[in-house]
Amino acid sequence: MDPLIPFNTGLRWQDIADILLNSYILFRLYVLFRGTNVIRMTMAIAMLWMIERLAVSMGLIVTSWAMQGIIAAAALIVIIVFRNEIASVLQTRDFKSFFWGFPQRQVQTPVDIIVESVYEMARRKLGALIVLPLQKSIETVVQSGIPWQGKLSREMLLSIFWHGTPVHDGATIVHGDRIVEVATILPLSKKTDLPAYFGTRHRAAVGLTEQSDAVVIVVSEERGQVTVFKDESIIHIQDNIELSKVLREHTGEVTTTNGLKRHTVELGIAAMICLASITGIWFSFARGLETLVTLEVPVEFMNRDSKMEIFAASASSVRLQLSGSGTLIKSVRPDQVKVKLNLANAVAGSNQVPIARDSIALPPGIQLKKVEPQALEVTLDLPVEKTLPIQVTWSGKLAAGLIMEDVRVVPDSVKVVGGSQMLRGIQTIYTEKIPLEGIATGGTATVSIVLQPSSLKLENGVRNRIDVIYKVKRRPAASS
Amino acid sequence: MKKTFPIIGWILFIAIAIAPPKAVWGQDAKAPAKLTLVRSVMCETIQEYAPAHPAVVFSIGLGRVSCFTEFDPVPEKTYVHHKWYQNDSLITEKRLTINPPRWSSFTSVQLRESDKGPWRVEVTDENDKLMRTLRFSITD
Repeated sequence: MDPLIPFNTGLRWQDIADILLNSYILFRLYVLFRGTNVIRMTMAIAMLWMIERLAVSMGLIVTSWAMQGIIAAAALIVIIVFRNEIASVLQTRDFKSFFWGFPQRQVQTPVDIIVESVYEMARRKLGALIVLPLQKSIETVVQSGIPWQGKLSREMLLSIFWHGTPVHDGATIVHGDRIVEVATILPLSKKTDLPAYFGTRHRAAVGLTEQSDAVVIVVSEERGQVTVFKDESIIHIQDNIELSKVLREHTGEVTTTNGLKRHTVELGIAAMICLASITGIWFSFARGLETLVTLEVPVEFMNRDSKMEIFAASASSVRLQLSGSGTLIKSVRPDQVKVKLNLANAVAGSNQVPIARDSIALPPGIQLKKVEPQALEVTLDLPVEKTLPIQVTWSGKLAAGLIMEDVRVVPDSVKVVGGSQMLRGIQTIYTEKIPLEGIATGGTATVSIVLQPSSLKLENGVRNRIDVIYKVKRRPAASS
Repeated sequence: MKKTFPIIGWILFIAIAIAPPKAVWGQDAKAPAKLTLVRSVMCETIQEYAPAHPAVVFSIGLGRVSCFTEFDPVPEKTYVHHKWYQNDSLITEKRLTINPPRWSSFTSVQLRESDKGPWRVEVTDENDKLMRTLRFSITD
């Protein structure tokens, strides 16, 4: 009896647990990596995988191979290209946040101070370039910054961007409530379709947002215009309220009921998608469990006494009836299914060796339904040598009027090697059949000997050719 | 001297009387005759107490095949066996009485269609010691 508890749907409790566990793992990965390029690339790989499965189901062999190759390469590329992003996500999380927490995007960035400072600089027409990084590290993108590590304040920002200060001519990077670097050089965008009035600050802001998820605030020195650059989009800020709203969205400060609700809905939808995806994948692998296949698997004999040899086995392979999902059954390779019989307890002579379940190795997810035969008869014996006489085997019919009066065999005996018990019952070695039909006079025939059973072997180096010298005479006339 | 001689004479007489001749005189006694198989053949039939058409291949059409054995000398009444084997399987064993001073005897088997193939007859003495093996074939 199957100890597993079946449900009406055919699902076991293990299957439900399997789906839920993997769905949660997928959801946690989404939570940890959301908003990064890693998650977008992972989505692309998932799409490629679906195409690959489709190609397999349609029998498009080359396409499926190509897709497999691309997926493998893409997975490698994601790890290499986004290693900093992955590392920053993993390093900044504590143990709890891996499994349970919902990390905020930014730690308590004082948006009001930034907004107030930016509009003060706009009013005074002080050019400014402020970077608020999100999750993706920008360390490899920016250059030549001067470490600052100062607490963020309106006066501090105004001082940095004040005309003539040594550090006013670069970008200031703000992490949380601290100014971490000033006078930083950002990569310039190579776009040709930017507005003509965009200066170097604007071009640098676009360049950084092309390569990171940071928000960059630019205050125009000529016009006092505030512009926010985010994800390659350019937002012309009309007033401080709009700037505050944009920054709060970016930093993840969900203070309103709507914001909290939207956040919850987003995570809920993500959780449902994860559950649906894993359920779909699970059913694509384990659907039905009704697919049956019969495999002929060679038997491997193990742990026999080193002094003994296997001289006979009732079968050299067994038939295994396996069940599992169609996908898994199709993917079973012959080398994954093994039947290994333990001969540790076998003795000289005939042994009945049952084919127990634990002697059969199957890949995960494949069940054994039936074994044929359920036991093998294995004959083990000590190999010995024995010299046996050779006898000729004749076939057919000698011509009427002839008598075969004598036969001599050269050599008249042969040394064979076989199991001691088997050789005990063998007293003669016979030649292959020699037809009598063509014989009219005496002569010599060269023939082979027949080694029966097949486990019987000639002594090493002995040639299996025998000369048969025969004498034939005419039958004397019947006396009246 | 006259008294001791009869004693030595008696001792010598008793020793000669009870000792075996070889031990005393070093002469060879004649060895007892041993049962000897002088002739053994497979044949189609027996005619006038002799094997007719000895051979090593017999057609199944003959219906019968015989094993003829001749012993000389036969020192005493004894027994021999003819053991008929087909392909190393004992088909029949026959015990034959052999009488002095010389004796011939034979056994036969009736042939059936299934008897085709290599055969042998082992001739053994009453102690089951192998004296001769005769090999032959039954064919179409």
